[in-house]
Amino acid sequence: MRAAATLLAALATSLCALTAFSQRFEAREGARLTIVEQADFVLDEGFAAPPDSAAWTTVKLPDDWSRSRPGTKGVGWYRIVLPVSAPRRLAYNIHLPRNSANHIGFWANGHLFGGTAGSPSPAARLIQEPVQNAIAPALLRPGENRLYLRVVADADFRQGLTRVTMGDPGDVRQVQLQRLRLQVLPFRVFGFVALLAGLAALAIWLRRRDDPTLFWFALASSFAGLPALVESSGAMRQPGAFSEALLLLLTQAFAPALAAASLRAAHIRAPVFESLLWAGLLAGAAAPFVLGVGAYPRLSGPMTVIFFAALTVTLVLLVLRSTRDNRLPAITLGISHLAAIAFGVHDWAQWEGWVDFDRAPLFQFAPPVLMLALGVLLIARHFKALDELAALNLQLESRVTERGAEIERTYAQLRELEREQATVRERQRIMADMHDGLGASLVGLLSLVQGGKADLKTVEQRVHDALQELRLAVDSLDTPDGDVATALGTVRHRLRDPLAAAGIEFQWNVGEIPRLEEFTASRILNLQRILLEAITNAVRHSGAHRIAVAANAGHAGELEFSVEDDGRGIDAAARGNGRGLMTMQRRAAALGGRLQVGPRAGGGTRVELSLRSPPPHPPAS
Amino acid sequence: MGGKPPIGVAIVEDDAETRAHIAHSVRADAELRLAGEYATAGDALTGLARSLPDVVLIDLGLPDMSGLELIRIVARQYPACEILVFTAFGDEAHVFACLEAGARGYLLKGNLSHDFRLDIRDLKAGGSPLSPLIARHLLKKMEKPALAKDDAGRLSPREQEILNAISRGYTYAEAAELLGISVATVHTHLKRVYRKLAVRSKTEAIFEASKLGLL
Repeated sequence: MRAAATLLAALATSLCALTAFSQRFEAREGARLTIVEQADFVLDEGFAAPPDSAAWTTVKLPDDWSRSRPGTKGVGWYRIVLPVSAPRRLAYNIHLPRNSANHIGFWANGHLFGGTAGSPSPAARLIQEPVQNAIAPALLRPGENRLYLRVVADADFRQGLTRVTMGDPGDVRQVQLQRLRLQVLPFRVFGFVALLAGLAALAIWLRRRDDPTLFWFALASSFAGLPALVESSGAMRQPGAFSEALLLLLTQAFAPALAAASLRAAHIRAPVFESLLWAGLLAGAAAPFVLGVGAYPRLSGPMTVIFFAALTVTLVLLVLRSTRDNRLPAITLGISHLAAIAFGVHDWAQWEGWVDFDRAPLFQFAPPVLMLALGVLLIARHFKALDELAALNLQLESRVTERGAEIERTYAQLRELEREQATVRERQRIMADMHDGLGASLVGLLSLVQGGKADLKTVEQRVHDALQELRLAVDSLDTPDGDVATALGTVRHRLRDPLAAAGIEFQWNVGEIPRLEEFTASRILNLQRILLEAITNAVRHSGAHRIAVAANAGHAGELEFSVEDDGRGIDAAARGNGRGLMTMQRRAAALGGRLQVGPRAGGGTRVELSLRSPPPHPPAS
Repeated sequence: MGGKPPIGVAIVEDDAETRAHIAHSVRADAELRLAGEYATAGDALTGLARSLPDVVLIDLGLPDMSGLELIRIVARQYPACEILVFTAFGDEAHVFACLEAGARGYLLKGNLSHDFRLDIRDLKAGGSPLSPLIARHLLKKMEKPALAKDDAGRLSPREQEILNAISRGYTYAEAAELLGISVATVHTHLKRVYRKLAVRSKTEAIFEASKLGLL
């Protein structure tokens, strides 16, 4: 992915560079264009074409004043002879490949017919547009015509006059358009694209300020777009130190920001180098205040040199970096820097006069090429991060699934274990029950039979008791935990036959008792046994006519049970049954309750059991 | 009551001693008539056609067929015949299955000496005594409809009140007094409860069958 992106970026850069360097401007077939390569020249500050008697000398075009008349700053007139064979119906167009002077005015046979917008401000010179003017047919006469170009130029800035192309309007316009496409369009289009990309990147960076490369890319891209904005808005054309300083900042800040972004994208640390660049920018911005108004044109040269040097140093760092691991960013950026430097060399050669004066300057293509490489790198990195994230997500997902299955297994094991423990507990309870209840009954019965003292009636009663015990134990397996009311109902149900047989009036008064979860099977069985014992005692030993059982729940979860009879009373009844009472007391204590056995008001016995706030963990019975 | 014909009772019990004991008790009761006694389910199914008892007592532990199966067949073939089940403990699992199969109550083995004749008369009047545990389980099972959007087999508030009183240990008479209704009304309600239980088990069976793709 990243390799492909790099390759694409390199291809685009090469294509761009080739197009820029070739600079082929071709007139359409059959076009009759006159390219003037020689003219007469005279220096004259006047506003009318100098007379033939003036000191005209012949010069070759293009005429670069820095070479032909170094140090000159002023107004020069160029005279071109234009032969016309017959009266023209069409206008005659004049084209200059680039506006190479502060101002150019056009005269035909003594009449002013056009001129470039005066450009006293350096801001207007950020790019050099091609120039085109039309001579109206009326201004030309058959025979020899005189064409004058009044040029306001400064040799220090390599100004002067390019070759002059003349011909029919359609033909000339085509050449003009080709020049526009090379010299003006890329500068403006790229400028605005870069500005928008920079602002977008800045907005993204502001959301999550964790990527310095993105931040410096945003700054570099925005700064790369600023010159186009300044040039098209017409801002800062007013002379002044402040205006010049600001202009310098806006147009030159690109260099340090670019270096910062490139170095970070290629994983290079060069703080000293970066600091020097920023210091250079600030020094340049301060210069107009120190050197006075008009310093900017003189500063733009040194600033360009600084930019050029920055590119070179960065390229060296990139080349060094490209020998180590993770070299793709360094190589991508290296190629773009190389192209940018090549553009700079071209312009420098042109500046030195080694390259044709008419050619379009190419350094304007450096920012697009550099930003393209940086943008490609950032996007590639973004996609790589997305891929990594997707891979991480997949990994995470599988781990979550794995962990989920593990938890499920553990949970299932735990539940299995719990079930086993519950089974073991229940088994132990039943064992204890058997031992306590049925076992004890049967052992008692056995010793009774073995002692030979038992009559059949007693044995039958004891067998009934044992069966009762067993049924209660079976019921306790059915009774839902906490259902005290049903447990009491079951005691009554089991006692139905003995009570009916004894012919005792029985009053049953069990109120609504809410579910009490703390009453587990073993606690319920304990409770049932206490009541069963109390009622059985009353039936067998008290000689009562009436037995009343009541159970009620209080507001705070306390339970009150009572068994009353109108029999002989506790002392007489308890004499033969001391063990039964003791067992009841023990069971009540196991329930955490209080058992009171005493006389009933009006005769008889009252057994009372209170359970207050049962403990959450019942002691084993 | 004197003019009433005695209640015909048939016994299905494989233990000869128990069978003889019950037969003896039935014969001794003027209000009851021994219609037949059978040691196996097979004997019972052939014999019942002739004896046509009002009440049949069925032991669950028969040698040739499960007691539950016999209850189902008898309930289907002789809808007028009331079925009582013998059980040692009257435990919920057994009794509930019998009630769903069509039995109308159960007798505890070991209590035969004095009360099963009463139970038979109770049964003819409206239903044998429900144990508190069975009442509680009926309440729990039938508090919701068998199927969503199907109200059949759901207990009415009064039926719930009656079952609740029984589950707390009250007799039918006490429950009637507690709720301010007659004992006969209690019996009527309980009959309705049994019918609903049968409807429910049928609905559930149909539902299960359709789920299995049998219908």
